[in-house]
Amino acid sequence: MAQDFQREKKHRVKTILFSARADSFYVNMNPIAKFLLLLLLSIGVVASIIKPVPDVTYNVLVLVFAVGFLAESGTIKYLVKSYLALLVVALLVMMMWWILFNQIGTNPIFSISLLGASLKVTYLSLYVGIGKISGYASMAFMTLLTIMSTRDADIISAFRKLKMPFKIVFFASLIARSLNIMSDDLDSIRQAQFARGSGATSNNIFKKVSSFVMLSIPLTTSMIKRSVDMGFALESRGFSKSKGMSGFIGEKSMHASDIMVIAFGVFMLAVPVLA
Amino acid sequence: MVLVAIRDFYWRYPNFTGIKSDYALKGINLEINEGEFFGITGPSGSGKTTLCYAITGLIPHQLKLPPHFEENIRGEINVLGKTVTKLEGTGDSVKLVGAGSMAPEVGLVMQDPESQFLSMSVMNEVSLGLQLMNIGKEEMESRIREALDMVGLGELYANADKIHPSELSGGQKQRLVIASLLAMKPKILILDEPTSDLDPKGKIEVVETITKLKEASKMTIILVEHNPDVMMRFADRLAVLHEGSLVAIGKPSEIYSNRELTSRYNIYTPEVSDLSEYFSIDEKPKLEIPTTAFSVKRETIGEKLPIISLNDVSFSYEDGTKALKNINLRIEKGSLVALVGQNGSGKSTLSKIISGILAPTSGTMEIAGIKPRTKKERLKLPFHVSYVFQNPDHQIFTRSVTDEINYSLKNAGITGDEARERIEEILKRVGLSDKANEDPVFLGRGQKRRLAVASSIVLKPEILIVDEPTTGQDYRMSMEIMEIIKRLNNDGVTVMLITHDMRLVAEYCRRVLVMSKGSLIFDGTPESLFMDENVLKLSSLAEPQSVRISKGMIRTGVLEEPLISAREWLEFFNFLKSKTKIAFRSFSDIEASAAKMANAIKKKGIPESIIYVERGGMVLASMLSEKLGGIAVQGISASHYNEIGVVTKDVNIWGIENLVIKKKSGYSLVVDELVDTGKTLERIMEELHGKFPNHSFLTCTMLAKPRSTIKPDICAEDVSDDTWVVFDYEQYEAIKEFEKENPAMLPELSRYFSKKTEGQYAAICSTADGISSKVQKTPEAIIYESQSSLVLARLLSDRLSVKKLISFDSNKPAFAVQGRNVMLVAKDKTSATRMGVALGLKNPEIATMKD
Repeated sequence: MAQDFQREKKHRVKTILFSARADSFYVNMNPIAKFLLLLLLSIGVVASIIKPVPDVTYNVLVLVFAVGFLAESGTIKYLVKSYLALLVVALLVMMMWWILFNQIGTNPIFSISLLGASLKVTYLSLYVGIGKISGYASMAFMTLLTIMSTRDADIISAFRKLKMPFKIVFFASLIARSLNIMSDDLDSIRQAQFARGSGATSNNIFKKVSSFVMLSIPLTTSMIKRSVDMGFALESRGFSKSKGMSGFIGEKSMHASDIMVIAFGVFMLAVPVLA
Repeated sequence: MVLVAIRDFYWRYPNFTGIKSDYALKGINLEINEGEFFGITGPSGSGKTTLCYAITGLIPHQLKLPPHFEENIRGEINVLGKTVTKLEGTGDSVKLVGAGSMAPEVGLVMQDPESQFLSMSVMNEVSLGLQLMNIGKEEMESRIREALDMVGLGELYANADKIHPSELSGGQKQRLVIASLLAMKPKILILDEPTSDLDPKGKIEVVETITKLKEASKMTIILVEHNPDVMMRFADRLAVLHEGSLVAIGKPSEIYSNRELTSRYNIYTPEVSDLSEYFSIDEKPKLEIPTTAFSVKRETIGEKLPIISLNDVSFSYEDGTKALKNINLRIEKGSLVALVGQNGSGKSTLSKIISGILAPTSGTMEIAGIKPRTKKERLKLPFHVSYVFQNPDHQIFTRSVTDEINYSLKNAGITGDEARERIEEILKRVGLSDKANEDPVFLGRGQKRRLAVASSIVLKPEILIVDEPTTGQDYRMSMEIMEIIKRLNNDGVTVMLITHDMRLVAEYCRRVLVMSKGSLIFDGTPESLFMDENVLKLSSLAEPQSVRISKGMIRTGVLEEPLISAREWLEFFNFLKSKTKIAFRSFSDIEASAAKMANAIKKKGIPESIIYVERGGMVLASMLSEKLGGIAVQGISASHYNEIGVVTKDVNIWGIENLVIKKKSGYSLVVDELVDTGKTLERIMEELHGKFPNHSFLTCTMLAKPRSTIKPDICAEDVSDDTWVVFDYEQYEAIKEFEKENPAMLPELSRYFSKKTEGQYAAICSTADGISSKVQKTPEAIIYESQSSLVLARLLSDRLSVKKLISFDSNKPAFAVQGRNVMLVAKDKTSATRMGVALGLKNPEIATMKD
């Protein structure tokens, strides 16, 4: 796999969650524009769903936008494999609960009496429920799109563009890298724990919790060792002697397309707010 | 010019518990010159890494020091003319002075590349140091390109901002770290065990990078390494550290040849050095006997019941990566199997499936009698299969050694007296009884490894899987672990060893599984793996030094089969020492034996043809033919091994069809001078019976050894297994061999050969001498007319060193003779001319008995 980079064009890039198509528009979008768009659309969706009757068309449009770019960035397969079933079930349950506890509307589709109380599903409550849930879904999908199409390096780059102090940027970068290492170490430690027979106690909730707590011992040991190594590695690059960092190659700058994306976000925010 | 000067340097790590730890470095005095490749080796915990940190200034300047730090530091370190570390003043006014961190002039590459990546793309990683140096973009770009080119990663540049370091292979990661430092243009580069965490391919990549650095730059390189091969190849000088002290310094050859030093300080040595323990120079075994008679005794895998059975097992990760593809495997109970292959080849996945950590995507399996079809069944596997992970730090879940072992027992529901007894027994077994109450986190690396093994085997597993048991450990620690594993195996535990160390495979395993890209590409003995160049290449494995030497000796004919470890070489040398018998057989001896055998043959009926084994059997065949009344004779070339020692069972029986099938009844005599191991003759008979099922064959040899796997039907004389027989007509060959290998034995040979040869043989010898003295250009081949000219041809081939000796067949010439320099040997000129015409030769060199 590794050697493929040398001769072939790189097709995919590692992102915060899974990987995405290297030549995708959304992946290559400036991270500031990407996060701004997420923020603007989310505010727009919130503005839509807090209305007495949410704008289902608006929410669905954002949802379609998110799904479209999940497909464009080549991340939809991970969404389908990992989160889709969970998301759909969660959203449906949320909708049921919302309808159950928000008895609005007068035109019932059906109603039942339970312990003397009448529970009904009306055309209005169903419409509002769908409106709310489509809003939540669109925000969840937009967030996943942003995370799955963004590399941790892009976030650090964005911080730098935002002129955040050098040490904070660097610290954030190290945290991102440490999380990456910690995740790998944790996998290995959990497997080692399983190999010691801890899986056999998986039905006992207390033992399960105790096993989980025990993971902290090797994880802490490992992270201490890693942090010492990383500290020395940092020093061997001259960190403590440095008074600041020059810019680096490959840093994403704002393009016309990014400005257009932000403008699109502003427009999409204006629609529910002004409507 | 001296670049690094360390004077009487002492360093003790601060310990804020109030208990003073021992000095990690004690009185180090060292000078390293500009452009020098300086090696540092020594056992684990000897202070190698600490010394590297001290040279870079990381120690003590980057550590929090206690108030009275003068108890922690003494001496002085100067690098590149600057004082890096020094104490000034006395008493309360003492202060630490020095430049501190020497970056970017001194670069440090550490053992684990993963911990040294500080950013999320290749581009950011290489540029990080440059950014910290405030280098401009243009220069930064050219430096990055140059550094990546230097380490052989130049082609990554185009995608460097998109590649996450974790996507690289182990070797690429470590090279990237080196590139990150090279970009900063250091004057000194320190590499602290840069290959110890890498797979064989990664090791090769990094070693090649180091080679390039050494050749292309005048950089001073300091390399910390256990691997003696790497040190021998690169280091100008080598220092040995032991318990913080510099105990030796010198050329690598001087250090490694000092057996006392290497064994006292547990230093890995080249395999050949291991043999020096047993043989001093004066006692060097003499190759005065036929080494091809040596056969190494190796344990064979018996027919036992399989304890691991995998049928078409495949595994895919969530992202769709196929980690295992249709694995079919049987491992017998009680065996010790090595599992080797590159990182990502699927060996860890396979092991995790066997131990129940992962469930196969498809296929069926039976492990220790359990068929884990459901999760519930899979959860039982850890109590039958123990998996010892590579990193012991990842397997310590409690705060005392006893609790750590008890953790496994508790999970298995074993408590009370039984648990106590098992803990005591296991601690004793791994030599940790005195550490029972200690916190495992503070144990040494070797002790942690033993604890990890103890925690696994306390469940009395039927199968033990150990991942890289010796990585990053010194020789003594490695041997301790391997001895524990070996003892377990002797007790009946099936062991699977995941390793990149081929020396370990050769020494301990009788079966090797090689994985590549999720498939099992080899399943066999270590010796057959080491002789299989394709598999070695495909899996980037390198055979141990013992095997490399063996291969050379097989090519020169000294050995028949590879010796794969120092232990086997020792066995070989002992064999040589014990083999001192040389038996000479003269032409008249052969004639006498031929007469004796002819009488025996006549009793069985006259054969219709004689087939002899090239080249040994030709003289005897010729004599037998004469004594039996001129029977047709034809040679066949046969060898149980090819020229590099691989068993090929190559028997060329082409060309004898006419001879054998001429008559439909009777039998043919298969003749050779000596049957030694019997393998070649056995193979010949198998081939002849296969090709001519309706024809009878009798075997006939002048001499036979008791160990031969085939007993000849007719044999004149038995010789002991340890006898090397030299025949008259082998005079030239034998002398040449002895001149090369053992001149001391030449007088004995000369004494024998100086005896006057008699009768007809003397005449043939004289003819051969006469012809060979006139030959101006050595022929590429000698083609002889059967029977009458056999002996002359044999003698000429010896005298002229002609390897191709071919019998004449007018129908099918065995050798494309046109345009080649060929000598024809026949009874007279007429016969030789007829041969030349049949072969289409113009003016061939002719030799006859009448010359």
